[in-house]
Amino acid sequence: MEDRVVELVSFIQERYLWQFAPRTWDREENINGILNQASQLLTGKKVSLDTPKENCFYADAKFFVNEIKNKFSWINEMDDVQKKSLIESAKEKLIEVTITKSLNLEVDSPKY
Amino acid sequence: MPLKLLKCDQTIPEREKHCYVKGPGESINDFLPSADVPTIPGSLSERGCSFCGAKLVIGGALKDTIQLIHGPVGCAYNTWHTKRYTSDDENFQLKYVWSTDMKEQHVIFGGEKKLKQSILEAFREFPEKKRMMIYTTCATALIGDDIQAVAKDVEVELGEEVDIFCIECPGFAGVSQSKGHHVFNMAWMKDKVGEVEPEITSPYTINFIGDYNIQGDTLVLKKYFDKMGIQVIAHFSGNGTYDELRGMHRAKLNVVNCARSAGYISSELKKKYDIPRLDVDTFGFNYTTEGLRKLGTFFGLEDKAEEVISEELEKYKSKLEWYREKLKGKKVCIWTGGPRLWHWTKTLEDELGMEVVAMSSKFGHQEDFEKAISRGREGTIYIDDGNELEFFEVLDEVKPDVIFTGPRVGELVKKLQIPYINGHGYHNGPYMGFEGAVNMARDMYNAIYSPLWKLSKEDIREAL
Repeated sequence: MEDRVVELVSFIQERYLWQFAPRTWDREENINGILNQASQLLTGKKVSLDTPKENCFYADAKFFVNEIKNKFSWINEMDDVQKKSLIESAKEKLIEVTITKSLNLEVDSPKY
Repeated sequence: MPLKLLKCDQTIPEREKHCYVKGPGESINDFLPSADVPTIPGSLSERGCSFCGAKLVIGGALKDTIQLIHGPVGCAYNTWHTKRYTSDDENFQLKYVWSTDMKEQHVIFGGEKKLKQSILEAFREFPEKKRMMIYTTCATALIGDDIQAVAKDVEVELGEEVDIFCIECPGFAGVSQSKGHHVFNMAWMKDKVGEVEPEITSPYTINFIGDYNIQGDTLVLKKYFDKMGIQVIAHFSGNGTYDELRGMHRAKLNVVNCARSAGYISSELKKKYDIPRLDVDTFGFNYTTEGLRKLGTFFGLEDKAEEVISEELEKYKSKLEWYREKLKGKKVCIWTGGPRLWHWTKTLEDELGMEVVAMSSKFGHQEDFEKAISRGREGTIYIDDGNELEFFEVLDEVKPDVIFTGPRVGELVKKLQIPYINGHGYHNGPYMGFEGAVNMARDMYNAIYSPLWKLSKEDIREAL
């Protein structure tokens, strides 16, 4: 599983802008919002689209899920528990890379 | 390989923090170049000033607005006509520039009277134009001219049909043009957004933010949006109008291209009006497809998005493939402002098989380097606020086939028989969208394969 997480995070790092939002709180919100929906989509659960923000996360999450299902055939062989665990680990790693261990001195600035 | 001190920087070792070579297995948690900090004395920066960031980049692209620069005449000339943002308003914004032409006497006795005369004269000479932006510059900021008070005075005098926006961002306000982007974004949000109620013609509305219609970029994308039935309430700011930007609060989604120059207003709109922010790349087939699919999902217009994508691929895919055969394996440098590093690197590598061997940013922040380094290849050199000596040294090391940069550095590299393409204003754009990707590839092909390079290497003095 660890190798799969590394592979997935490396793919996300190379591909998606949402992880690099300008500030810590935006990054956290995007990573959690998009990957939580991705986890639900991967496991066949219904996602909530009640707010504009959720709808925006869905646009990113749906694209992301389609891409990883095409690119990483091993995802399709995982059961739901494994899929959820994969995404949870990817979330943790992304928070670490883009927030907690970030060398970007601007992400904690209180204003835009 | 960590941060790198180039040989030419031995006497200014502080430059080491601004140059990074990505090593195997390294991440942005290991090294990240310093960026958006003051230029180090001894390094001849190629940055622009903060006033330039506000006027030349953002305000100046508006097609219906008088851009009055309160300062010496050079501030106007040097921020006019160097950016190829066209419009469908007979290129009003490219044809004209306005300056209060401050002289020594105005610096000594104050320039407010001169400013008021200039505002009135500009409105008189262009009676069909009712919108104006006034910019302070270093000289007028230092003497403390109150441009807001003068603008209010004129608004009272000329009545409600006239509206004026003041940008107080002198050249010295920040470390580069980036500060001007910031000041413009925040001031517009504070002073103008919400003042106009736009006419809504579609249930699907967006603001398209951080695109400046360079050689028609905006018009390419607008064609896709129109086909999908999406109304663009405001173009911030390419081919945009003053009043459409006052109605930005009514869009359902902010679609952001240049996060560096316009991310601020997108984030503020999210905070104040709960309009979500969708960051996209608009260069290359893959990114354009991705952006359209996401837009389609957001509005439930997936079928429409697929129609546009397949129509465009049908028209342009074979063309791009032809150029790919000619360009694969060619080495390229991207030495531009900031965001084009991360917009372009994977597009050139994935879609054309090229190798991006060096990237340099004039005004990018560390966020831009996080994106560029994450997307860039190992062994590539990443430089912040690069200077000419550094560029020459990098050229010796990476030996590129073509360079995207501005005309000034471009003219230098041409003397070394290395082709350059205008990475800011383009050679033969637009570069965005599907047709733009083909234009960009064609420009690189023409640059690299031009027979003129062979001729230019010949020293005809020997034959005389």
